[in-house]
Amino acid sequence: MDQNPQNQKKWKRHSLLRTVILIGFVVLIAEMIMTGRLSQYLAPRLHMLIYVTLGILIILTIASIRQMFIGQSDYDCDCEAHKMPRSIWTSLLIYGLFCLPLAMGLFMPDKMLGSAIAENMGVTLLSNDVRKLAQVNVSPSAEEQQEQDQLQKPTQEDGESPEAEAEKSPEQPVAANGDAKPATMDDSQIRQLFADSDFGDFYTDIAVFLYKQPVIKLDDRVFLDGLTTMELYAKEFAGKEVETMGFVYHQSDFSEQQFVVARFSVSCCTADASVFGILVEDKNAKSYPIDSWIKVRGKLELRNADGFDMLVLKAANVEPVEAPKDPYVYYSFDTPQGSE
Amino acid sequence: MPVNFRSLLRDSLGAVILGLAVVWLTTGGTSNPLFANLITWSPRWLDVRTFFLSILLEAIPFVLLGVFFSAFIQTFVTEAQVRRWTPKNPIIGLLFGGLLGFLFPICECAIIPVVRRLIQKGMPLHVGIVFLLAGPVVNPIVLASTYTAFTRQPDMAMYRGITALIVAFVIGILVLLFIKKNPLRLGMETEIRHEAQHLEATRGKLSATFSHAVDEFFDMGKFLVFGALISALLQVFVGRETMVGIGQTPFTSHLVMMGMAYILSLCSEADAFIAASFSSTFQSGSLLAFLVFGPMLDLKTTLLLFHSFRFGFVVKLILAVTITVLVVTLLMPV
Repeated sequence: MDQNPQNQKKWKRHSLLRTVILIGFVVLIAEMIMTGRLSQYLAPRLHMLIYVTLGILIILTIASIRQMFIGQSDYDCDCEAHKMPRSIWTSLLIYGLFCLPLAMGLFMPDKMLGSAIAENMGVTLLSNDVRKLAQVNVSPSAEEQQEQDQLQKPTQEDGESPEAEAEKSPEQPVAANGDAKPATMDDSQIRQLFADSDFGDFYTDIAVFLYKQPVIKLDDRVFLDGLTTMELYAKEFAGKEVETMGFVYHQSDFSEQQFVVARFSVSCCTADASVFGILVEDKNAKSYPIDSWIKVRGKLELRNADGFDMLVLKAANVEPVEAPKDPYVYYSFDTPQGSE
Repeated sequence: MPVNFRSLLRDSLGAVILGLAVVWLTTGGTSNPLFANLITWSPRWLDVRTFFLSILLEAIPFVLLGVFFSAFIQTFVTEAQVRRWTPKNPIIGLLFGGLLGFLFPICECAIIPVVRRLIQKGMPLHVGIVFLLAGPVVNPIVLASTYTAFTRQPDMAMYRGITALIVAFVIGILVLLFIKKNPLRLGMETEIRHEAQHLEATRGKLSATFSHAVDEFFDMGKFLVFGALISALLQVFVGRETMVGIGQTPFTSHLVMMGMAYILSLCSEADAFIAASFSSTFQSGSLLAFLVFGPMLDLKTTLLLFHSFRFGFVVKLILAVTITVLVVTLLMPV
């Protein structure tokens, strides 16, 4: 216990700063919850935790205000356990560090993740990697080709990975004419179509659910599971019509007629985001601005790239739309009632 | 004079922030925050902001959880109880530490304050370290998310759990054999005596817990904020593709994936989804290294470790964990 008035004063100043910072966090989080901006930073399944955190932070703020007025109580003795930062510079540095997220959160505008980050992370396309596009391209220049080859070495090396095997095995029993089966089949017949694989009921269910629709709607809820399903059953889904929404992603090695309609998938926070998309072929591909949001409708076509089957969306109709409030897509793992 | 200047500076800084908060509150929380449109920010920095805030928002609840859990242990669990529960036999103690995660499924941000508290309460050091390393992997939530992420390789979750246990046991045995000195930042005995005094002096346990939590929040928070900032900067300005390009032999690809796990500082609940997104580029062994190393050590937890344990001990721990994970995952028949 320390009743030195100088120290008491110092303690109160520290408590004041801490209180201000805590209030800042409360304001920031409350604002994010109220405006719905929270969904740009966290997956919905963590939102409940943030509500609880807000409550705890409010309690901590009250505790800090109490410390500010009462000063060091019997409990808060000046022992080694929680010593306050000593010099003015270290305290400036430390409290400055806490102010940084507050300042950024309150005074800088939101920006959705876009193509720049997607390029950093790499985009996963339907059963393929965006770096293998050279094979889909009509005629890449020699220089580009060389660059592509270098990039591909790693991926070719593990061509024998279990994933590649798994992709091929289920497709063998099915006639590979690539045309859509007539939509007159009933559920059990469709189910039969997908039953030979060993991907489990989950994906079979989604496959049937999607296959039944005359135009498959890949909306926010089924986007990821739908893409995974189509990737597993690439041959069966070739020829089907699909409608989906996402942001426009270009890459320097795309041809004039290619772009990707992409979505970020998030499982907890944006640090674990990954990018999924469908390669779209459209005459006016270059006319859609990067990162703008569009709705695409078209027919899936099966291509062969580097020995892999790959689905490409031949666009029939592309229209610009507003970006959704929650820009990310999630696996049904996050929202159990998802796909149905 | 300097004293006056200092206090002036501090008070004015606080006043400015408080003032800004008031201005913001009175202008009403519209979707466009204050000043947002007055300055044109570079898109890269806005991306840094997104990652930075996102990592913080994700981690703060778990750090608070750890802080309160540790405060709870502090207030309601006695040293005698901890001693009674922990097996006397060192080998059974290792197993106990490795499987404690099933009882307390907490992730890597939350586990550090908890383990520190348990060690202070008399849990043997090697048991605590095994729990620290294995706990964030070998628990039902993390294994379930791994199973979900690797739909095509269902054994990945099993390999992940087993590898993490092996690594944790190896480190636990090393600690048992070679670490004789107490590695906590504060001498264990003084700390315990000090806490006991607190408890006697405290009128209300609840208010003590909250006062303690404020202190812990700022103690742990500074490291968390710093780690999140570095991780966000690296994600935007370096990028995963660059890191992938560095190494492709089995040895270097393991190292690259471990480095990536370290820098990305993902929550152990979520990292399996990232690992799965690399499955076309990397072999399963390197993915396993990523999945085992990340929860044990990453940028933000390293800073938290330095806060709780002595410098020399943390350095030794980092070296030992890195080498063990590398060797075990290279030998693992995935």
